[in-house]
This record gives sequence, structure tokens and C-alpha cells, in this order.
Amino acid sequence: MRGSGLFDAEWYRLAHPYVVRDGIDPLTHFLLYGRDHRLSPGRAFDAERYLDQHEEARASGLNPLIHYLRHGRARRLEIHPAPPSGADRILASGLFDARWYLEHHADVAAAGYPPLLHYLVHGWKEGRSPGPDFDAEWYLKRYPDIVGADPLLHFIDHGLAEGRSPLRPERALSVAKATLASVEDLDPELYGADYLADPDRIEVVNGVPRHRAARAFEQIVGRIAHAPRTIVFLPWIIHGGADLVAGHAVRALAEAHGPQSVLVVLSDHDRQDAPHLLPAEVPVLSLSRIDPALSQDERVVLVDLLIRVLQPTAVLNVNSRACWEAVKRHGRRLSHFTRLHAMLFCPDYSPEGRRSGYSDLYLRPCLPFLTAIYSDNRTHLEELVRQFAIPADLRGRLVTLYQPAAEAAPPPRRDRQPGAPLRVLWAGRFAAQKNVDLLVRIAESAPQFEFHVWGRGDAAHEARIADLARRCRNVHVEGPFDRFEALPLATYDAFLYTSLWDGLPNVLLEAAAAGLPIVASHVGGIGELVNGDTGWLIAAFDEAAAYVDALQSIADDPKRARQATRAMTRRLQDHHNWRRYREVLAREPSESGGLLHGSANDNGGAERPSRGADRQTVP
Amino acid sequence: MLNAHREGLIAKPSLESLKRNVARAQDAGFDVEVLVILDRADRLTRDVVESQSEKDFRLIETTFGDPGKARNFAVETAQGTYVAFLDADDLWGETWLVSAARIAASRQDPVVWHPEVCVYFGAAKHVFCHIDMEDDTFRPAGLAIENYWTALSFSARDIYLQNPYPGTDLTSGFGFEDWAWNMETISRGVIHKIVPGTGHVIRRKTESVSTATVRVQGVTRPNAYIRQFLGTAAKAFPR
Repeated sequence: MRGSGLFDAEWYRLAHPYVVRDGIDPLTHFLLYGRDHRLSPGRAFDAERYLDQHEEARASGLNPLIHYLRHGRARRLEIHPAPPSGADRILASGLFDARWYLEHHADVAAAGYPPLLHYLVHGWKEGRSPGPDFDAEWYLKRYPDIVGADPLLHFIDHGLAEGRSPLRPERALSVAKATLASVEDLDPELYGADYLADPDRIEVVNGVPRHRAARAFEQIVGRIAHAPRTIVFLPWIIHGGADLVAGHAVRALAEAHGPQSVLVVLSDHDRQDAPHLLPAEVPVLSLSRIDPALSQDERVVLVDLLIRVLQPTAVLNVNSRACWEAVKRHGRRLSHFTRLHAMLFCPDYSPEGRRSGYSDLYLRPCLPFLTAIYSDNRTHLEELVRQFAIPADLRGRLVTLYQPAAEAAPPPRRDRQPGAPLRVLWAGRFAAQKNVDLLVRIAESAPQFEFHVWGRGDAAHEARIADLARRCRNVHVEGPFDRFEALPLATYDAFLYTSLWDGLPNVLLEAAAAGLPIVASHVGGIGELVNGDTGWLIAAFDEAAAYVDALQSIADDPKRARQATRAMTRRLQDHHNWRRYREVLAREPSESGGLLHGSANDNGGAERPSRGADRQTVP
Repeated sequence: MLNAHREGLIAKPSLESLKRNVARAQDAGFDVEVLVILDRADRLTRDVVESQSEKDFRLIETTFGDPGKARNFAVETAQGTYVAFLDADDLWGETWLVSAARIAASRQDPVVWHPEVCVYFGAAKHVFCHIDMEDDTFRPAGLAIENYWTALSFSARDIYLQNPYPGTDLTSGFGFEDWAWNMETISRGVIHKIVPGTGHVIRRKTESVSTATVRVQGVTRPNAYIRQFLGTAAKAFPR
């Protein structure tokens, strides 16, 4: 552990000063208590986050650093820097002055005690001030709610954001006193009682906001080079269907108005696994990178603020919860500052089976303020119209936006040797939505086909797939993948898709573009792509036998399979090409023009005449 | 300029504090013109103002029903080089007018002056310190989130003429005309500063225009304020 460079005894001592107080060797302490108390061993390794993020580390019962060194590192498990310790935060605040501390506390200097360590172990408990800019005694007297905590750390962690003062505001109180003295005889509410009888009870503030969201906002303002034409809000950027869809929209915006006209804001989570989905020149701002501790409410505040101060021509929300919430709470006023757009794909379900996707939770309150809602399939929009009784004049805001598919010709397919088994590709997340259970039943009942299963998922589903592969020799677990097009697609004969609910999943467009015959469940908008001509659409979408029959017909009738893939290619060319995608995004909804509508330089929010503007000065 | 509306009997202490300020300024050699705008004033307020005003005060009745518009009107009507605003429920500390006039004469660039402190009394009791834009602690981005200065400012009449107060429109969710004005003036190169050692005494009522604005979740109307600070990370944000 010492050799790993991840254990830092000096940092550990300052982060956990009771180790010094109790005279315990830091490494011994970490070995004894590190796991149970989730203590970080040094700046570079966040033990708590490691355990939270990696179930296997939790399950192992090992000290997290030992787990990482023995197993995690080889498996490339992610690690993150530890959050700043109390000592780190004190040093960063600039309020601890080592020289001042020794000068004012001669006993510490005489004992040769390192000043910061002394303050952390003993000093604050003895009411000593850490430097000239923080008066510990006054702070504790002024704010009697602080009991049993280091007052300096309280100020840094809470007091500063709450507008509390680190020093007695002598200057303000003295000017207030002189001001009051000059007029207090004029008003009984002033002369009736001594305003300054207990000056240490009077709140002295200025306007500067110090709360977490305000601090984050300052940093954001410093990092944005100019006001963008469009802000695109995403929760994160990972290998997901919605992320890909967002990537298409950002690319279209960048092509139409220049990459610098777009600002992508990752609003909800600190995950950027798939940055390549966004054009490289488009600026990306992650709220979590600005401050990982931002609460959901603070993120909503920042979304609202960003729109109001930057006044982009258009905003697009693709699954950002913070943005949905901001539109729900402030849509009325935000729609004065910009045109609000959102994308919706399909319903989603909680683990308990409740419908809790963005369509259900946010469409109804947000629709009055949204210029357009784009969906990658028509079926979902039709469902929404029925579900919420959306009247005709609002229906125009719902736009089907078929996603573009790869336009390069598919790689040449190898012909299956007579008598060789059909090689079936299944690729996706191992999750309830993808109906892993159905895949298991199909594979079990079709030993005549080979099933090549790509993907990853939660532990329970991974175990289920591993168990299937152990029992069935026709099932091959191939492991996780990042990009569908990087799979050995030319070696497969069919693509199997078993989803329980869906929009129009991009993986089907990719399989279609690769020239694979498709067998898919008839749920959501899948029928808009896969039908009797272009593939095999399974109406009895949870019945294994229907899928096996379809695969059998691909195996038995290669000519029919070729006809289907040719029909599919035509379907892609007609409905899923880039030119058509951009046209729809520029033109629809016709009432307002689409997301791309307008020129590149029309970010003039402040100059746009705003409703209700009235500069008349004389009656 | 004293902005009176429906303050009734409490207009008297305001008028008295104004008279003290005028006397101090005249003693120091300044000419002072007093304009009282009775904007949709009720009878009681009018009676108090009329009975307590000096002979040379100009009393003007208006029907704006909007403090920003009343201020704009007063600026156009005023004849002096500088203008100072007082609302008829608040008080100026005695040295405000003379100190502001002296320091304003020392700067040729466009500056709006504010007192160093505002002492709030009545329904809430606290001391609000104004920030000086030329001070290291000034943080420009924060003004997009919180207002830094009250509307009871002092500046050259030309600056108010060139920067009239925007109207409020609470039904659309826009309010805080004084906050929006602070942002817009900065966007046009005006600096907001404090007059050291001066203060106002502000009566906090249980219900005011600004609490009503907060209730409707109002914000300032769109303006270009923040754009001038974009991409100016460390320099513009002293810690």
C-alpha cells in the first residue's frame, strides 16, 4: 500500500487528526478502520465513492484500497480523487495563517507543535483563532447555534454560504451608529428602543450571494467564452441511445450555425464516457465538474439562471432532469427569454413497474411553455396525444424526428455454409427493459442456432446471462461493447431484439444499416421501422416460440432474408438520412420553425423586444 | 426627489431627514432644489407632505403608479446637475447629500453613488452594506443572482436621463426595476460606488413591491449584463 502511492500518511494525519491525538500509526489506523468508516487513504483515492460505485468491492469485504490494488486496478475500475479533507478546506480558505498562529499562541511555538496540526487537534477546541481574518471567539458568540464543531470549518462549509461573518463587522456597525444618531429623534420606531443595544445580534450582510449555486455560477460565467445561440442540456454523455440522439442534434446545430454557437451543458451526473458522440469543437460544460456536490435543486437554479442570463435563441433538453424541472417551475418566464425544445422517446418504468419517465412526469406541466417536442418515433407522440388529451392546436408542437442511420454501404456479408448454424446477434444492456428473460427462453428452446450475446448490465442480469451460457452450449457471452459498428457484424446472420418497451431504438437502425435481417418485438415505435417487408416483427412480443419461428425462416429462406434487408435499406434511405433529419429540424413545427430555424447570429436576447417592454417616461 | 405614494403619517420623518440634508448641503454652499412627486398619492399623504414642505419645494402630482416611472419623470423635471432619490417612508442619514455631492464632483466618469450602509428597521432589522465596484470584493456575476444596491442613489442628472428606469411587468414575471437598472447601467459603462461613512435608514414593511415580486417568482427582464463578464475567469472574480 505504501508503494502504490495512494496512501499518504501526512494527508491522512491532517484529514483525521484524532489519529495524532490518540498516537496511532496512520497506516495501522487505515488498515483497522478504513473499510468500516470508509476513510480515504490519500488525496488520489476516494474510498467512499469507490465502494459506492463498485458492488464487487463492497461485496469483497476488503479494505477498498486493498481491493483496488489486488483486483480493481487490473479490471480498470474507475477511481476518483478524495473530496478535500477538513485540513485541505482550511488551507484552501486562506483563513489559517501559520505564522500568525505561532506568534499569537506562544505555547504552541514553544512546544514545537506544527501549527495546523495543533489547530486541528487542540486549537479550535480551546477557542483559539486560526488567523487574523477569523475571530473564533466572536464567531461562536455571534452564532450560538454552533456547538461542538470547529468554528472555522463551520464557517468554510456553511457560514460563508449563509452570509455569516468571520469577523465582527466593526466598520459597518460604526457607520450604522453614526447614521442612526443623525435621525433617530425623528421616528418613534427609532427612538423608542436602542437599535444598537446588542450589536452582536444584528445581522450585517451585503448583496453578494455566497451560496453554492452562486459560486458555481461565477465559475461558469468565467468558463463560457461567449453567449451561445443554442444551449443543449443533457444529463451526462454516455454510451446510450438518448446520448446518440443528442449527438445528432448537436451536430446538426453545429453544421447549421457553427460549433461555437452551441453550448452543451451536462446537468445531472458526472459521467462523460462517450464524449466522441459530440462534435469535438462544441464547448461542453459539466455542472458536476464545476462542483460535484451541487444538489438537484441547485442544478435547477443554475439551468434557470443560465437561460436567463445567456438568453440563447433556442434551448434543447434531451433527458436532463434539471432542465425538465426548471421548465416545469419557471417555464412561463423562461419562454420570454428563449424558445424551449425537448426530446421524448418512450415511456419508462421504475423498478416497481410504475410509469415514471419524463413523458409522464413533465410533459403535461411543461407543454404550454415548449415550442417543440421531438420524438424519434411517431407512436410515442400519438400515445401522448391520447394520454393527455392534447388538443389539435398544441399537437403541431409534437414532431416526429426520425434519426439518421449510417449512410456508408454495409460490409459484404459472408454466406452461411450449408448446414452451418444460424449465428444470431443480441447486443444491448442486460436489464429488465431488454427482456433478458425472453432471450434466455429463446436460446433455451433453439439449440439449433448460435446466440452471440454482447453487453453488460446489473449484477443480477449478468449472473443470469452467465448461467445461461453455462447451461447452453449454443450461447456465447462476448462481453461489453462501446460501439455497435465495431462488433464483427459481418459474421452474424440475424439480429435479435427482445425489448419490453421502447421508442425506436438506435441499435435497430445500426443493425439495419449493417444489412442484418432483424427479428424484433412489436413494442413502442419499432413497427415504424421493422414490418413484414423489412424484417420480422413479433406481435406476441413475450413469446419465445414466435421469435424462434422467425429465426427459423431466416435460416431456411436466405432469399426472403435478402429481400427484407434490401427493403430495409430503402426504408433507411427514405426516412433515416441526414438530409431529411436536418430538414425536419429546421422546418418543424411549422408554426414556430424548428430547432435550427433562424440565423447563426441571432442571439440577441437582450436586444429582442421583450413582451411588456415600456420605456415611456412621461404620462 | 422625494417619491411619495401612500405613506401617510410616516412621510413626516422622511421629509424631516430630507430637510436636514438640504440644510447641511446649503451650509456647504450647494444649491438644492426639492421635488416631491405625489404618484397616485392618497389624501393623507398629500396633506402631510403639503403641511411639512418648505415653501420652495415643488410638489407634483402624477398617476404612474410605478416608482421607476415616477423617478424618470422627476429626472426630466429637475434642473440641477445631480439628482438624489428618497422614498417617503425612508430616511437619509444627515450627511448623505453633502457627502455624495462632494465626492461626485471629484469624478468625471459616469458613477452612480450609494451610501455605505442601509440600516433596516421596522418589520425586519438588519444592516445592509453596499458594495463598491472598484473594491476587490466586488463580484460581477453575483449581481445576476442578487441585487447589490438600493434605488436611493445619487448621480449626475445626465446619467439618469440616459438610463431611465425600465417598467415593471409583474404579470409576465418581471419586476425589480431597480435591480434591472443597476445591471443595465453597468452594461453601459456606469460604475456603482459607495460614499464612505454615509447611510440610509430604510423602513421595512410587512408587504412591499419587492416582496410581492418575490411571491410571483419575478425576475429582472432580459438584459445583456452578464455578457461583458463571459470568459473572464480569474481576473473578474477576485476572492
